[in-house]
Amino acid sequence: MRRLYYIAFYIIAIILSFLLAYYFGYAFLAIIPGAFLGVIEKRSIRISAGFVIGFLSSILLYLSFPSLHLIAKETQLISGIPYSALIAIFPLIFGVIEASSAGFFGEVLQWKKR
Amino acid sequence: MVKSKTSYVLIGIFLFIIIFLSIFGMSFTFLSPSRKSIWLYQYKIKNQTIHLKGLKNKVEVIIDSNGVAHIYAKDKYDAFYAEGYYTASMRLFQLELFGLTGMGNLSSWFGKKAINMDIKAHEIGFPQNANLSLQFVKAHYPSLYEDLVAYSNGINAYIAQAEKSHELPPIFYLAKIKPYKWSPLYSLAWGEVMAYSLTSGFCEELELSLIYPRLGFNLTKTLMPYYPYFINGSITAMPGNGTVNSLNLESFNISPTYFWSLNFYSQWATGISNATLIKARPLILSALRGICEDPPLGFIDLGSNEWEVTGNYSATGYPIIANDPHLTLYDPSLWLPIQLSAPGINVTGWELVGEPGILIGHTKYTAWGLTTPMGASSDAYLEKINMNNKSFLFNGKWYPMKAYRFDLMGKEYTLYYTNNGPLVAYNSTLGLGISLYWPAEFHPFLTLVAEMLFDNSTNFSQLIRAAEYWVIPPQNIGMVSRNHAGYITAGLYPLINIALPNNKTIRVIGARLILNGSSGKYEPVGFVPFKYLPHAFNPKRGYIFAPNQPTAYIDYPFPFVGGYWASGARALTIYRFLKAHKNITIDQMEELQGNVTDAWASVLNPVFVSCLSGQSLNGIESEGIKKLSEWNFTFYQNEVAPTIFTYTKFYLLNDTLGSILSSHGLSNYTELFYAGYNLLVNDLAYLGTHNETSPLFNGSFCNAVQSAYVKAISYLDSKLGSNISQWNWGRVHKLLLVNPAGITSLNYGPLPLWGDGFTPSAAYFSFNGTAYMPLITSEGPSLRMVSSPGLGEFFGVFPGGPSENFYSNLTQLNYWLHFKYFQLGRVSKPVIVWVLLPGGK
Repeated sequence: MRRLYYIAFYIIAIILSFLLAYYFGYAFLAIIPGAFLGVIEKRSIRISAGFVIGFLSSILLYLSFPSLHLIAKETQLISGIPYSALIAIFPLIFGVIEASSAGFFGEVLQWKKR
Repeated sequence: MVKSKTSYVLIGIFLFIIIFLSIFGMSFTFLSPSRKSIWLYQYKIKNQTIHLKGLKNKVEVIIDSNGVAHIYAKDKYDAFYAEGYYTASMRLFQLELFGLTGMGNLSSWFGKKAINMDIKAHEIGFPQNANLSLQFVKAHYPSLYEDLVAYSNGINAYIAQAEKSHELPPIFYLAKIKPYKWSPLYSLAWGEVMAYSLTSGFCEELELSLIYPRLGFNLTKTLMPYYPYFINGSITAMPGNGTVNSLNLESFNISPTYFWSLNFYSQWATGISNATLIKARPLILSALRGICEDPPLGFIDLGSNEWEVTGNYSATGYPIIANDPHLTLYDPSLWLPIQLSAPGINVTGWELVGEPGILIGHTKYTAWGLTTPMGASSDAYLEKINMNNKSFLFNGKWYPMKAYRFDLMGKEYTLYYTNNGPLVAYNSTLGLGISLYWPAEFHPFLTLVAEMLFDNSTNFSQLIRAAEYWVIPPQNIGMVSRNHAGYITAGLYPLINIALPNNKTIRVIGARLILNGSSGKYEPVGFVPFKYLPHAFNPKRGYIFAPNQPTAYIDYPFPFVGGYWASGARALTIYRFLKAHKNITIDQMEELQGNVTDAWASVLNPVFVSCLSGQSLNGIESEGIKKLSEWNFTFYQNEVAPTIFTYTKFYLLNDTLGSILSSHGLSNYTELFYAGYNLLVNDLAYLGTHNETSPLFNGSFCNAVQSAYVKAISYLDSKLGSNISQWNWGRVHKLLLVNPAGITSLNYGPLPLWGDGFTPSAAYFSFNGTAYMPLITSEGPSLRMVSSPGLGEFFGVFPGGPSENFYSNLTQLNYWLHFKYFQLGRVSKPVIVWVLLPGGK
């Protein structure tokens, strides 16, 4: 039962991550899906799940932009920011916020339980 | 207890990370995978059907495999609307950059670092002149105004659509700039920028005003002759002695020999003494640095090619035209290849981005091209001024100066005008100022009327009528119809009335130095009448060519005292080729455009070889001479001789002219002096072969050549290694397509390149008095066009593609590099289709 319960929260977090990253694009919104992952009991799992879901959801969304690769190359030329950093920086921030959010809410929930 | 303490700590850490990254992450929203990001813009041009507000009927835009957009509309308004929409889709950033350059408002995008460019734009008068033109066009040319409005509406439709869908080119989001709404005023202001960049007179008069007092007449005349060496009446753009419509200098009882022996640097010719020139030196320098040395966008105007052959002279029996305007090679190009088809108009060629219509191209019946004539069409005036009461002296009386105020970044600037034009430099202490006389200040920019008439032309008379409207900048307009061929140097040439030492008066074009603006004697007194502009229609000899050589020869009735011509190297090569090729074909016209033979090398190299033969030289030096002696004067990338020749020439110039500069106190003006590199090489070719013992060469040209050669070989050895077979021209001479906004990381290149500044397929690089490498070329044939309307054959190529995207496809650069052409005027192979429909929101 608990497994199903966790899977449901994983799915909610994944869907929310995709929707929030795609429709709003503000990194701080990763707090919301992260909060749902806070219910997972094991600290290491909820934090790593938060990071993986946050990071992958935004990086996978890049696939929907047909010119991303060329725009990143041109942006690298203009700004001097390396290509890989341009692609990775937002997913990393999004992932870390989601992981921190999962960690934060997990600690709060655990603390309340105690 | 321990557990709960850990939780507290973790809660704190997580909270800190969340808060910190949430704030920090806001700056990276533009990189998110959302609709607020930079990623939405589509590099790939794709098929689309779009509803556009303001469009009257359906328009089809077919982009073919050559990158030419064919616009098919049901009326003229829709055609220009679609042209504007297409231009903005392909070149929005470039377009808006050009518009702001013209309006002197780059600082609204780039802040303080662009403020000097904006001040210059106002000093020269781009926005003021554009306003004058707009009012005039609105009142007198409603049809042109409607075309300008349609083009603007098309641009604005794209901006609205791209802003709404967040699909602007990424640079707008990266640089945090917003596109502004285009209007006809921007097209006119950008036209003014292009016109000024192709205008001669003002800057050359100032440069000579610095150099002449030090060099004196004899040396100035030797190094900067009124007509470059090797030029005669067969080589001038208008063939013959200069007589036009039965009028010549002798019609005014003035002998051309007498006239051209005069010293036009004298006080009688300019109204200014040497002492005043020396006193005004800081002021002259300030004006030069202000609006000459670094004009907006850094255009360098060094030349262009154009020639026509008559039906009698071509293999097909129909006239043929070839044109390749040499301009800054931008990435993206200044040009956009387009066909406009609507009832009453069917024209194909190149749009100058920012201007509606086709500037260089062809209709079914006609074709036309442009080169710059380089005779003075602007002048510099030295004014006596009083900045305490803001007045200037004219003809013995003091008059108040007109003040023009403009705002830049919240600060007000004031520009003062004398009767001659804007005061671009002044010194209150000296009581002197320099004003720019440029006809664009007083005359509306009707050049766009001429362009529209060209675009609608169906016969030769209509081409000539279109040329009558061409005002600024003067251009050599090459024209062919199905059965006629010709050229005319059209535009406004201001005339100055001067009294010669023999007391005869004559109206001349331009001056050799800055003119006295206070005396009233050197004021412009009108323009060369259209009837007497240099021209040649269906010439008997069968061909005409106008690659920036002197426009008309010494008997021309309105002498070009201010003639600042190209050296004539390209003219000589073109003349020799055309003369030798009766029954010329289109292929041969294209071959001539790709010709990389340097006429001055053909004069100088045999002398070099002769001087160096028999000398005691080391191994590598002897190998070098072998390369030079086997050379046929072509500049291909894989040849070694052009490298050795060019660097020997550099050292020769520096050894001979460098010592003149230092001995005449001109060391501070080295850069200015070598700006005339083009002409100095002509001097070297002539003097080295006709006056070998000239004091310029310290008594022996051969000795100077030997010394320069040894230095060149040593330099090349140190830079390229001792294996002489690897000293390829393409290793030291490179093409660099430059970004118009000056974003150097977006420049394209360097790529090995053919040619030099004296080959018909020109590749200009600068020389500042010292040898350097690589030699970077960013000026050259900005497009190539060969057309024969009688035969229905139209070909062209340009170094670029339709889109400004750095990684855009459909680029013609490789074809341009290898002298290949595309067929124009028909859809080669449609690759993308846009359907534009009325009814957008």
